[in-house]
Amino acid sequence: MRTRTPVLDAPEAPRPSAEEAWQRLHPRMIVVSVSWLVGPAVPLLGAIFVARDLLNAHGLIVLGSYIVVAGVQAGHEWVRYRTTRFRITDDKVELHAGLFFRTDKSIPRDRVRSADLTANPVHRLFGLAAVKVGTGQHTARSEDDELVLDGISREQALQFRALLLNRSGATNPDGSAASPALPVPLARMRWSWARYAPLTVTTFAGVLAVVTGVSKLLDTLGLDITDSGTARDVWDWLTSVPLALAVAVVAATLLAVGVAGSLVTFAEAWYGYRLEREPEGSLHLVRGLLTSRSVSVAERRICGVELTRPLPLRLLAAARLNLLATGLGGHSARFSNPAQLLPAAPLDSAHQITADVLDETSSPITQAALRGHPRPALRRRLVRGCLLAPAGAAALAGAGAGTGLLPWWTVAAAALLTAACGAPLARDAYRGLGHALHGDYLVVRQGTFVRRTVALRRDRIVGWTGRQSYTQRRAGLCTLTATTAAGRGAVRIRDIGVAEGLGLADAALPGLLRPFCDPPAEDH
Amino acid sequence: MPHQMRQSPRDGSEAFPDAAAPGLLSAPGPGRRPDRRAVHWWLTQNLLVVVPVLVGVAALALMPDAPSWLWPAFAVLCPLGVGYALLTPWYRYRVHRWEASTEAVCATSGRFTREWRVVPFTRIQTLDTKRGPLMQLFGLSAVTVTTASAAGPVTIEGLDKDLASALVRDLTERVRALHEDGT
Repeated sequence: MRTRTPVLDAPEAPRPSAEEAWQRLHPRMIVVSVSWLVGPAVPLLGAIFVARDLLNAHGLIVLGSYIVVAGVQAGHEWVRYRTTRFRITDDKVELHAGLFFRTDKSIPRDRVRSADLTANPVHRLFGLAAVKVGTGQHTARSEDDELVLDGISREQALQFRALLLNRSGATNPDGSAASPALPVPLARMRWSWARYAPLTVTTFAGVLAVVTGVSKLLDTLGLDITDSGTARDVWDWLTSVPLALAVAVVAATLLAVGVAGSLVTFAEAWYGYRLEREPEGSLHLVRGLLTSRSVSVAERRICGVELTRPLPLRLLAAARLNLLATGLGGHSARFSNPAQLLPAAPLDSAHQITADVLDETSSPITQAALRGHPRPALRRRLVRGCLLAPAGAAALAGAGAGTGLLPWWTVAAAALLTAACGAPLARDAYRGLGHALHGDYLVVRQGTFVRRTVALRRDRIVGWTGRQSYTQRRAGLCTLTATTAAGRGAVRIRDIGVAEGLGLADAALPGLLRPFCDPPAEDH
Repeated sequence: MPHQMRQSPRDGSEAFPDAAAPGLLSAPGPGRRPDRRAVHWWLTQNLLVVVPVLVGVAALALMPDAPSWLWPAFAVLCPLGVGYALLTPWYRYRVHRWEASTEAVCATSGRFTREWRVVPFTRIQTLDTKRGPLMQLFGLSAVTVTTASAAGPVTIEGLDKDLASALVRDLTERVRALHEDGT
């Protein structure tokens, strides 16, 4: 038996709203939805055409199943189109969808915290867009937090966004309530930022994806690359030249593919990047070449920022910037990282935009004097880096040696190598730990492979949590968590001294903890 | 209301100047325990898991061509399982505490990893009451206080069901009186 008492929405009689007509998604959406089938069709037909003399039963089965999948998908999309309806009434947004499994969603208008527009290339080709309406609440059922209208015309989508975000103008159905004042630009695209793009993990991931994707496709079609004349010529050449040269050529080729891939990804994601503050105070971000992304966040939803610096970017004084805001950082993968404010860019730009976004004269991240953490925190990191990680590496190498793949001396080598890397990384991780209260902000820094600095507005902290594992208790440390409605829902301060952490929590939200912090009462 | 009971000794601590405070704070130790019946509830829960497992192992060992290591395994599992089932309810009863002050709710929990959570009334979004079949048998309820954050619900387990509904009623009134948006 469960009872849920929503304490915020006092039950009021549902006032009879003017009955708005239900609307459908745009019929062109059916075409858009099945368009992804064109993607596999091109290489499939191309490969079959090129290698038609090699075609066997395997290839025919793949082709046949493709046609079946296409038919089923088209039928499914037609049913989806016929059964999906939505409407925006005076006080809520409603979406009904599904034939066998109905989902009826409704979000009260005054709960709408964000309305993000996105349009992938196919959407744009057909003049459509998707609107994601977010509430910034995290309930146990996370899919309840948001409502996606995928496939309405672009003009309609723009109107909706204006209508939903501009609550004062809610009576104005055409969304023209926006004041004539112009938005203030905060940042624009700079192509010089592209130099940081290859330094990300996506470079290597991109190479891997290309290589595995191509080999998978050839494999699925039953084509053997060794049958191809060109491939054999390349292989023969590689085996004829000295080994070092061959390795260098292969490495250079993969690197070139990776760099090119990361540059293309960067250009696609950040082309036309524009960050501006709209007259009513909300932040508006536009970016994207093929898939255009547009994110609006009302000013009162902004909770802070997160400065992210992966190891390569730290060496080059560069950083990425994410926004912490209620309703952002949700669960839908289709809106790729809507909270990212800035691609990898020089630190100065990141700090400047931090200050602009938070509406401060200078970034709290640069201003705050961070306090380090007690020495036992270093010991914990050294134990992890110099004992646990080498043990793990040795276990892996041992498994390899046990199956006869590796010689036995690799066990010791792996352990020693990991320990040698672990010690400086552990020291770096310890130096990275820091926390401070600066004005209205809680500033927390941590991490070594990816160093994150979070500046969170104090009045956005919705609670404090403290955790102490057994080893932390022995060391007099704890992990203090400021819970918030933004981002992943929590800002963790790892391995802070217990008394210091409680002092910080008490200073951030005065009077909250104090009543509980007396020496515990005697047992009754 | 039971929440007012511990007010008097607390007010004194407010008198300390803030500057001297940080060193003085100790980890939050809310004052109220779960209902005594919670021990029985946890015990029943544990036994419902442990006893069938042990019986199953014993039954397997009694089969004619059972592997010979089953009896030693049973001999090791038996004291471990029974010890776990009998002792953990008392341990949980000792560490699980809660309290509602004039501004916030606090609860502690955890066996090996200790945890405390504090949520101010102004940030409470929903109050969930849960009563499973076993809990109904023992007349208990669990109250979960949720906020706008995915990370910070405060759960108070093993409350007397009347106390739980009174608590929910009382908290609801107080939060509505504060009337804030919760984010």
